[in-house]
Amino acid sequence: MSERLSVLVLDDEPIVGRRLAPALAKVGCDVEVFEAPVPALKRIQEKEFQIVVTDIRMEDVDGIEVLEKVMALHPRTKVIMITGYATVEVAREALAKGAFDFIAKPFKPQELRDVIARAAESLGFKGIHETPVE
Amino acid sequence: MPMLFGDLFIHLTWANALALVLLGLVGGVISGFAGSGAAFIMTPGMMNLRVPGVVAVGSNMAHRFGNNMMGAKRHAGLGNVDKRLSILLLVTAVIGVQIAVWINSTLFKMGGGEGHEGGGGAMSNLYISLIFIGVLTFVGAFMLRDAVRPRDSKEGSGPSMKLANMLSRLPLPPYVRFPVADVRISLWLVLLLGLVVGFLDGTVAIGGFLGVPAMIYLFGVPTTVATGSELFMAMFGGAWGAISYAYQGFVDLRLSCLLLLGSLMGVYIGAYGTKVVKEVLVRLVASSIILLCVVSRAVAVPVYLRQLNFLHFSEGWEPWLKGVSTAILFAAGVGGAGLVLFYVVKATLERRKVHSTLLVRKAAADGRVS
Amino acid sequence: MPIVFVSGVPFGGGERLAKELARKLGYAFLDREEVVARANESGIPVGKLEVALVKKPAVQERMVRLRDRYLAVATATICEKAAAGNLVYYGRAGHHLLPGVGHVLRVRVVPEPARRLETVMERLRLPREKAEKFIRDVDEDIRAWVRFVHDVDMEDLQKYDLVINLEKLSLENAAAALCSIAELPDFRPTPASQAAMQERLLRARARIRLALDERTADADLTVRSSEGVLTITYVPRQAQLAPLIPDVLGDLPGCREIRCTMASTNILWIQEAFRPDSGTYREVNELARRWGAAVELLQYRAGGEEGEAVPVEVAPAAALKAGTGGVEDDLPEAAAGGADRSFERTLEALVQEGRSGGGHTVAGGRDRLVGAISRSVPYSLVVVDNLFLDKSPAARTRMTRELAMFLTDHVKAPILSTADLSSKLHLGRGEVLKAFAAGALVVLLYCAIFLRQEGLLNVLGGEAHKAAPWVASVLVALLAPVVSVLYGNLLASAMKWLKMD
Repeated sequence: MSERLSVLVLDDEPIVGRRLAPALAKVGCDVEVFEAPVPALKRIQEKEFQIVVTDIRMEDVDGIEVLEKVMALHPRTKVIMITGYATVEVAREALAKGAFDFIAKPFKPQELRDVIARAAESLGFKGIHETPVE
Repeated sequence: MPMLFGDLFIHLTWANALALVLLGLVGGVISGFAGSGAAFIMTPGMMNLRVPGVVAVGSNMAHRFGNNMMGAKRHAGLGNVDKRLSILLLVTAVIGVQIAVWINSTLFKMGGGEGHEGGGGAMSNLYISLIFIGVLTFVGAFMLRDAVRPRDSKEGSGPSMKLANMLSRLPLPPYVRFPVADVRISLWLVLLLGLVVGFLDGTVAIGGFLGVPAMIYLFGVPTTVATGSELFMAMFGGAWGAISYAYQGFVDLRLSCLLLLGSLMGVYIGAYGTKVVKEVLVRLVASSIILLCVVSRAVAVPVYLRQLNFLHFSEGWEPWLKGVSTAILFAAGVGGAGLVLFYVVKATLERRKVHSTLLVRKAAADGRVS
Repeated sequence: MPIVFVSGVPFGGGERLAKELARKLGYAFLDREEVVARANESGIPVGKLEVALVKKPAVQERMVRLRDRYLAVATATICEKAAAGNLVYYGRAGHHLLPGVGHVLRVRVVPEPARRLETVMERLRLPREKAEKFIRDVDEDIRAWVRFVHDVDMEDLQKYDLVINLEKLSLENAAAALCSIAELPDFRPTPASQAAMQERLLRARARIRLALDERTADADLTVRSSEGVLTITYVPRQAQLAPLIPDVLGDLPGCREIRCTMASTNILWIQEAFRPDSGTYREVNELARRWGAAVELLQYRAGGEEGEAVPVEVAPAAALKAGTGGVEDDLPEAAAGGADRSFERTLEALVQEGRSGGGHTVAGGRDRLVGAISRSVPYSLVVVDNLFLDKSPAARTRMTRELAMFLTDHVKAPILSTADLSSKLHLGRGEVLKAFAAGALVVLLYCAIFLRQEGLLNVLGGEAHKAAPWVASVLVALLAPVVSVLYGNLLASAMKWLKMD
């Protein structure tokens, strides 16, 4: 297992990033965590991440905009939306704009890992584990 | 002990007739309690009473045929039967049963280990035992895991839907909508499940034990509808199997009737048990019994292997192995049924004690404020 | 003044119409978003439900529980806001939250397709094709939502008072038209309809408290209420919860009394007049005792001709007359059963027995009756009898039968009349005879089988079988079901006789 998956996690609640980073690192992801959209977008301009996980409801820039920017810059990147305020409308909008999947909070890390594993698979990426490696 | 008509039918004494009725009772209690599949104790139980495996399966199917009919009628009354699902499953289940009957009869006629006590069907006995062990280890372990696994208390206690969600995304048209179960499933998956369930039902008479969880976990069918639809299908599938086995000459109606005496009564008691015992405990008891049955059957496997000359050990061991196998099965069955009875009695007594309506009167003075 | 429920699809102009209407009428405005936000705040993750509908997994028991909690929050939010004053609500099908509440104006807004598409393209910055797909998908999801959450078809126009098509009608004019309709006396609140709303509110609040308290969050509880009396039933295996329930509920405003009943199942008893000294009462009670069931009373008075929509005033008018002698409150009781208190006495008798599953009263058309039957309560039996008392006996029988048929389609439980009930309870002479006959036949069959083993086995697998294998098949096909049916009937009768069914 040489290659690791590059993942950017963006959520304005610090606890989310703090909990997700180790959970994703365990299955072979290199995780960068951001708590504000603006620096995250700047980082996305510098580097093409394979997977971006973003919250939808945030101050100043919302997750849908992040999605649009990512899709415009790196169409190959898989964007996974997470939100506690999911509605049918928002979910459909995100999917129409090219989001890979949509997860409603509260969720277990395993749910996100499953989606990431599927995203990695569709990127043709091997070496990601479905379950943590101790 | 002499056998009647070649090696097919055992000689009935008062003792083993009584044992069969008890076996039926234990199987019925557990079946009513765990929801389905009394066969997992009845088939090996009969084999331990020296009934050849094929005849055990055939007679068991004949006995269940009637039993299922009563169950299916009850579920249909409650609206738990998805007829479309049952009928589609049945289409391939009949084929599965037919394949199983053919394999079983052929193996039995091939014989193997002639001259040994327990019939000439060592090959067929071995085959049935192995399938039995394989399927029930899987089902038992799965149920045990489900029972023991700590649950996320906020998420409720529904069955896991991960597999069902994954399968529902598979692109396998055409899809069929099932009105009662309210799910949409690929036709191919339904037909495949029917085949597998039919085959297992025909081989060891425990198809329902896989069919119900498969419908719940793979298709996402609600539990009650899964049970009802499976029973409805099993009624026809079982009838077909029983008739086929009878055609091949492997049904001992005497055994079926004796089992029935105990099992119908047992089902009533077991079903009452589910109302008063915690669900986790139900699954725990059921899975433990299943796993013990597997162990019991596994202990008996070397006997058949020796009869087929695959394994060599002193003949003196054989009665020991058979004895241990019977003892484990007996302990599992009687222990499980006893436990259920114990809980039923305990719950009934406790219920008398609890004052069943608790009243809290409040001062009516403040009336209604919103 | 009424609660106006405006239902529509996203980007269809419904929300703007609702807001405009609220402004014109000077009513408060509430929308789905706020309800969802409140549910989220109280720890009910509605988003899970929404996403589940988009991803279309199989319906899970967990989702059903989530749905019931969301419904409780939505009901509570709307009732609280409406109690404070007049209200316009915009949502998907919110009027289904308050069945039986009369002062509700139900409006469906049909969008103008081209304008809707443009709005979506502009607001969501989507190209035409994607916008079209978005609209298709969202509409399909919302239809599925309404079907799952309210168990109705959103497109069923019988469920609305008014449909507004925005194709020709401008938003302003539509709002103006709605204004004058909302002020019609037909939609005015009556004491009865307000009491019905209070009842809904109380029930919803009780549900929320029970759902959010960690002690009771996982329990299978059913909540019912009538005139400020909350009845909670719990299953026997959760008996340890019983003393906690009043604690958890604390002092809900408007709650006069809490009754907790242990029940493995529920029996719904629908009649027009109840008497605690009637034979039916004894029979229902006996059955409940055997099954460990709670009995819920539903006093139903059919209003108007069957099938015909019933004017909302009918029930309240009756209630006003009957309610003048209200005992405890200033508010008249909801359409109580006239001057005699036999309904209350029956309920009281059930409470004494420890088998009360609550009781309430409904009047009006069949839909009202179905609306009053809770979907979240698993009934194992519905007893229907003694209805349409003002009709001639012959018509009464026919109409009761028709109503029972109608209920069969809506309630997932066997429906029985009193006559069937007694046959379910007691062993009739015919049944005893039948049981004896079955028993005798079983004995005969077993004797035949075991006394003639050789012959039977010969046919099943011996020489005779080789000659004609199909005889064995026929024998099995005939004997196995016959024996089990006979023996099964014998056992069922025996169980009934032992009062253990």
